[in-house]
Amino acid sequence: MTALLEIKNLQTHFHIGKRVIKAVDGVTISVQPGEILAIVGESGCGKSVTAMSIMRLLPSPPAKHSGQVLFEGHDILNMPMEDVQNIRGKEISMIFQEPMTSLNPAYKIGDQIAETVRVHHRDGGKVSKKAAWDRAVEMLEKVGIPGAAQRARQYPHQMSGGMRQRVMIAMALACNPKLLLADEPTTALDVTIQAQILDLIRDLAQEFNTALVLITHDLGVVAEMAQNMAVMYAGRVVEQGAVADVFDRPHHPYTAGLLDSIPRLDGTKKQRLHTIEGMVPDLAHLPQGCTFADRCEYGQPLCRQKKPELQAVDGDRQVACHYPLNLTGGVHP
Amino acid sequence: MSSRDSNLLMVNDLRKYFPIKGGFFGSTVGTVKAVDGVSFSIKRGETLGLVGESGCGKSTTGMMVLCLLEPTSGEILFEGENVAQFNKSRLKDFRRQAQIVFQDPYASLNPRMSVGDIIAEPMILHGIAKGPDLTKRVEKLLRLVGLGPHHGRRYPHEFSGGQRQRVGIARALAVDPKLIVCDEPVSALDVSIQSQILNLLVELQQEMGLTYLFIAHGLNVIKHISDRIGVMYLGKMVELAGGDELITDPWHPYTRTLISAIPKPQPGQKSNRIVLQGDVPSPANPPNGCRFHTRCPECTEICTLTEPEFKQRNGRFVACHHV
Repeated sequence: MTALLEIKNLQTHFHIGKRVIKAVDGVTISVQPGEILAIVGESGCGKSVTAMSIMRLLPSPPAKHSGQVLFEGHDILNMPMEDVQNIRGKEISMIFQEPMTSLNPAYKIGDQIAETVRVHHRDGGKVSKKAAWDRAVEMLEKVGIPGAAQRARQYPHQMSGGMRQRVMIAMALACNPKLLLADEPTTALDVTIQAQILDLIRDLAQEFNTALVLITHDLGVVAEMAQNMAVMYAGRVVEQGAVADVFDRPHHPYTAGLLDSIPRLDGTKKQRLHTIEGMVPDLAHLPQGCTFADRCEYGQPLCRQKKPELQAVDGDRQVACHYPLNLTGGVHP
Repeated sequence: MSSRDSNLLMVNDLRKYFPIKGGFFGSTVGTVKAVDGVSFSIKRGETLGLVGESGCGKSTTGMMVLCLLEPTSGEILFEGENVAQFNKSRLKDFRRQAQIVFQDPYASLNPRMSVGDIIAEPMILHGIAKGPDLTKRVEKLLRLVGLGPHHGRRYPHEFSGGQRQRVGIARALAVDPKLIVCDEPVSALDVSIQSQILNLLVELQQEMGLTYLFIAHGLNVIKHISDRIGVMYLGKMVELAGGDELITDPWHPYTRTLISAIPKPQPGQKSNRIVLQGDVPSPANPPNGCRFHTRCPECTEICTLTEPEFKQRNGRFVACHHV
């Protein structure tokens, strides 16, 4: 099977004055058609910048890309802007974290969805206003908005946060994209609403056979939604693999530390939680060796000298660590 | 010691209604019942967790407990005394004994003051220390929360989110309080930093015998830190029980939903998630009967008609007709 999206050594650096901020510094990821891949990491690890780079949404300058983002074999980073416009919204769509700010407050939501439909069918035969509006109402029904025909005539401020996120999903899926990028789609929502939206995204992705790249910091969401996951730290992917395997046997000390530091519902009250000491390195002054070496409890001299590359271990797992944990073949020093 | 004395804080039937102004002359056209009859008590050295979705009134409750908002009705007893009857000097003393740690460590520190000055200010205001003694105390507090004395000369923008939250905690501890209201203290932090702050709060409580009212929307965080947990929905407390009991054997349907709705970090374990329909109703126009009946999977006729009482059963409290 050929990959739908293949990112090869993507680097997105921001040049601000004399400083170079390496927000994404060598990300390699592939997404198969229909797959759900989660990108997980803490704030500032470059997960959102990766998504923005895939869509070419970052102003350049200051952003500078290198590497390749192959969508069905075509490199998005080297396309003329018109071709990128044809991919955006039609082939690849995006859902953002803030449903409040990503809708235009001055237009009816039905018009906003219809606009997407009309814009993206411009070349292959015209879509009448009526047909586009009908498609908007149909999509609103699909995402479970009661009274869709009336709701389509409302403005964003007349809807709750959960409803607005449903509208965003309807808009994103209106043109049957092959890939959906969801950047923290439920972070701004309450848990009971989050459960509704996650179920909806998963069901619709399946129904439309859309591949999903889910960007999140919540390992619970990863476990419930995704088949595969990539863990990012300081602009790089440090570990990749099937979700169940990674949770079961994390190879990278950072992944292991993250998994251990979540308070669990079945945990003991007030028991000391595992912590990862220190904090994320400054992206403008990344260390020469492994970016995690300063916080790693297993750090060795080699870690500070040489940057570990992402390499295959244990079959279809990948890890960027000189001394991976929990290998079936080896013992950790 | 009588049972009344072991309670540091008692809250009886607390209510807060906010008027909705509208019309030509700004007349009151309705009320938002943000908190509508909440009762609980906190023992000395205990952590009571308040959990609920946005708009359920948990932060408003915290504000009233600290006398930062005046309740519409109900009483708050701090060490057996009604805080509404405090005179000026007693109120000032109360403000020393009850402190708050805010959610947003970016917005709750004055950007124009050095961190040392921020921590020193409450001690100066309450006349606790001055001169070299003050400097010494600031250094001690910085060390207590895991920062160094050299951090005192720096400004908030030089710190990360987790470090700022440590500063916020040091400021709260500066005046030797008895009660600390923690309003979502870790919600803005990353997982690896969140666990550092939670550990710090637990250690400080054990060392200094602090009492916490811990407000959060993340049930796993609440469960970790709390001795007892109160679950709030639309201005009401629907269930109050010991942390372990509440999680393993929830009585109220809303508590059950809340527990099942959290995505669990265990792949493969297909959760039997109860997905609620619809949104939380507006607190300006709450449903009749039980407030949860519009979304409750176990709703029957009586739920739409009469409001269930918040009753004690086997040492737990629950407000539901079907327990």
